[in-house]
Amino acid sequence: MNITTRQAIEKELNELYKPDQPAQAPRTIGFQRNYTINLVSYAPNRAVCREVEAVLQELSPLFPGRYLILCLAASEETIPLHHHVSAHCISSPGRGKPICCDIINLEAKAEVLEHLYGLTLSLLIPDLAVEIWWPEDVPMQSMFFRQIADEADRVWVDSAQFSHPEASLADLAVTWGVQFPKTVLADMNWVRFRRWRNLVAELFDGEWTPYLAQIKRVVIEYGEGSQTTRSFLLTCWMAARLGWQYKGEPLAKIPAEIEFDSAGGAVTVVITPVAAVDQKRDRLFAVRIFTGESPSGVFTVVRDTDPQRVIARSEIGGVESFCRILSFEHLGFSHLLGEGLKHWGRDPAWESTLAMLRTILKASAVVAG
Amino acid sequence: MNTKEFLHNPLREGLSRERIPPPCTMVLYGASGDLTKRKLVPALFGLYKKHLLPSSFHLIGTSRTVMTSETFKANLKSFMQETNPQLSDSLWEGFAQNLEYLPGGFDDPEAYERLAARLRETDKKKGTLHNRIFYVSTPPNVFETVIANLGQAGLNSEAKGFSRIVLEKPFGRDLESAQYLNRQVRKVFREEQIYRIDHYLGKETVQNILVMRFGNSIFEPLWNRRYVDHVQITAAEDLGIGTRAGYYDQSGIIRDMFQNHLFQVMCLVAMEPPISLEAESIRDEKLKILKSIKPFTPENLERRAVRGQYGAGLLAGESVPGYRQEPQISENSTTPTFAALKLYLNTWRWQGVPFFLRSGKRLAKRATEVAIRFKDPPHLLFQETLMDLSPNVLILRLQPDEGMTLRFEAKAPGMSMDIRDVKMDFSYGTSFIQDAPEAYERLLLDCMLGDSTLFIRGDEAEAAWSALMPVLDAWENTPPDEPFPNYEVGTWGPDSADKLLVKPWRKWRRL
Repeated sequence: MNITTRQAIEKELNELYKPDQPAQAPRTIGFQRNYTINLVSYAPNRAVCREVEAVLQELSPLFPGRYLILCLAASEETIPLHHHVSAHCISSPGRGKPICCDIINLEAKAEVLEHLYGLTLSLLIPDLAVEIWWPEDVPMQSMFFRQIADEADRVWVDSAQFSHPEASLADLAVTWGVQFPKTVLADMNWVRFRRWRNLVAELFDGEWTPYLAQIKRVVIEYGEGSQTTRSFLLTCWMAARLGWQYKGEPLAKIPAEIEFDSAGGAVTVVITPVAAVDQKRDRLFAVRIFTGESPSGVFTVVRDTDPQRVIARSEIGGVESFCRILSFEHLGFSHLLGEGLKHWGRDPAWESTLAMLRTILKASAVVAG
Repeated sequence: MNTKEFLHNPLREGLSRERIPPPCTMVLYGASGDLTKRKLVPALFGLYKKHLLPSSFHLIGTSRTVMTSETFKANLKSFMQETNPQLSDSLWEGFAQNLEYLPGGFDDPEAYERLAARLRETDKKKGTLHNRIFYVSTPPNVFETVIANLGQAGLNSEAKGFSRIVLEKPFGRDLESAQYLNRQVRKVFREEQIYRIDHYLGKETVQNILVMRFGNSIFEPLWNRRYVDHVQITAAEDLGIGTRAGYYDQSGIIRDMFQNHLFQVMCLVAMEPPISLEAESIRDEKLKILKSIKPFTPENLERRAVRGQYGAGLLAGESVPGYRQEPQISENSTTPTFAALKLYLNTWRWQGVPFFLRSGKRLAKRATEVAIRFKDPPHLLFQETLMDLSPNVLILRLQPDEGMTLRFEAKAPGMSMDIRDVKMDFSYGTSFIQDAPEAYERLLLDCMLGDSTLFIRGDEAEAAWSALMPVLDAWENTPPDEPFPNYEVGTWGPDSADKLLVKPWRKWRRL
């Protein structure tokens, strides 16, 4: 087995693109290696590692890049660090040579991984953005994470995958900007319910915009037994965008009911579970928005009995004024990451949502201390 | 309601990158025509697939052909299936729910009354908020009738929602007719409501000219008469006139390509940085370029314009007829199918730098590009290899193989000072593997959003015609200097085009 150094890895990658035998050369149409991003991903075990690799393979046609997977080896592994490399090529009619990018898989035991910063950095393609995808809890105490996050342009987390989403999000909201002022924190969960945000926003387009100032009550339904993270993020997003003020004390947990003050009076947001046959983790089931009188409006986005169908509807003074039925196919990680990577830089809506979350939720004692 | 009010929804902030337009109805005049099935409906379907159509969207196709909505939809579906055998039935059905057909004569006032009533119903039923786009894709001689009747029926009113009119090219056939058409349309619609379409501006690579110039700091300092020897803009087609014989023989290459596409590309290449990306700022700068074109005169025309017409020949090994042998074309036709122009811009930046524009049918290959040829270095240090030095050229490939290439000199490996030209290449296909949206998708979306940046303003259209009228007048009133046909199918046009270049180091690029 080859020793894991930058030179060895680059050499193996170069070998991949050479024809196996000189005789093949005339038939080889050739490849074009291409990089548009660096994407470093972490996987806590081999099973996740394989999943991550599959996601990156799906992503590679959209964002050909240098992909690194840092896979945590089991403690009983005898080899502390090893690697393998693969090339992923996309050929499409009329585009000439197949376009190829690399996936470098580094498997390391925990104590080695903690010191892999130098190697990881040396494998990145210079002058290209560095994106980190950390699909589980963020290890703020890890030296490796701190170093790599500081170097990155953006770190992708998935709050739906956190073991304690509310505490972790509250902690991140407080500490991220202080620890990593130059690195953007992005949440795949935020991308995941962008379609819901879009639909809620759409209900208030045009002549219905004035109803936003009259909102009195919002009911957000999620699948019983699942997390409330997305429901809470949706609440924070609405509150932040509409200028609602939270006047209560910071809370340790996401509450079932939150009171806000708005220019149009008090607003109550209720986060409530509903029985659901098809329960995807943290799935949203309905958002129901009620406005005050003259005339009263009811604006709803509801997941149908077919979970792939969502109905956006508004009713003013008891009369339906708008209705749209959409198909919401399930979004996999490659789709979410792909959507997220399309947009570069900070997302003010996300940042103001996180700021609102920080106002409502108390950071953990460790962070606060 | 206008776009600004629509965007004022605070929940939209941060989501605005999605560019979802407000609810609206689009009325398509000329709905039984080719453009509808080949470009417009596929573009709308493309937007639908990408979830970029408004929440409430409705398309009413109209033309003189009598047919039902069902036939209209079936015809469109059948065409879509021909071009895309993988067309998803369920996706199409979802989209087709938003389509209907309303037959009517363009000059029949009652048809407009029926349309107005149908629009009111649609607003009520589908929540399209009184927002209307009238897309006029008819033969140009009907534009005036459609516009006047829309006005008569009050469909130009923006009292309750927006009302926009999209006019397909050609916008007039000369300066006089363009001015007349502008007057007619402005009697009914305000300039802000008028969208004159040039699909070239919807191409990603054309828009990239702006990003490349003004989103980078390394190009702009060189982008002037001090460093640029000349600019070549080429739009070459290997195809002939296809089924457009009637139109083409009346128009010719100048009307078909120069007045709109090539001039617009030249404007983006030559214009000064706009003060903002607002539509008016960009269009103001483009207009300055069009107005700065040094006039063609009878005295300079021979040195600055060359015309050609293709004769029979071989293309890709197959025998291809000449222009005069094409169906419906007279055997004595003097319509140019090729033109090359040498333009000078009377601006501080470009004084003395020629812009060579050329376009033709049945040329060696299909390719559109802009080539900026830089001047030679001021001091020739490498005297021994002088003959081998090639000029630096920056090439913006607009289609196909979209991208950019910079050609420069490098030392070849070895003990002697051998210099060779090498290329630094950027290709859209490899850096952004996903397909770019079709030009019409972008333009239709922009129109729904009320963004007129990529559309041509009335004064731009007139200025472009104004610059070209001496060429058109001269060519229509005098026979060609050399007998037509003067270039063979599959070549790069007539040899006489070389006379425009004058300087020995200048040559037409072989694409």
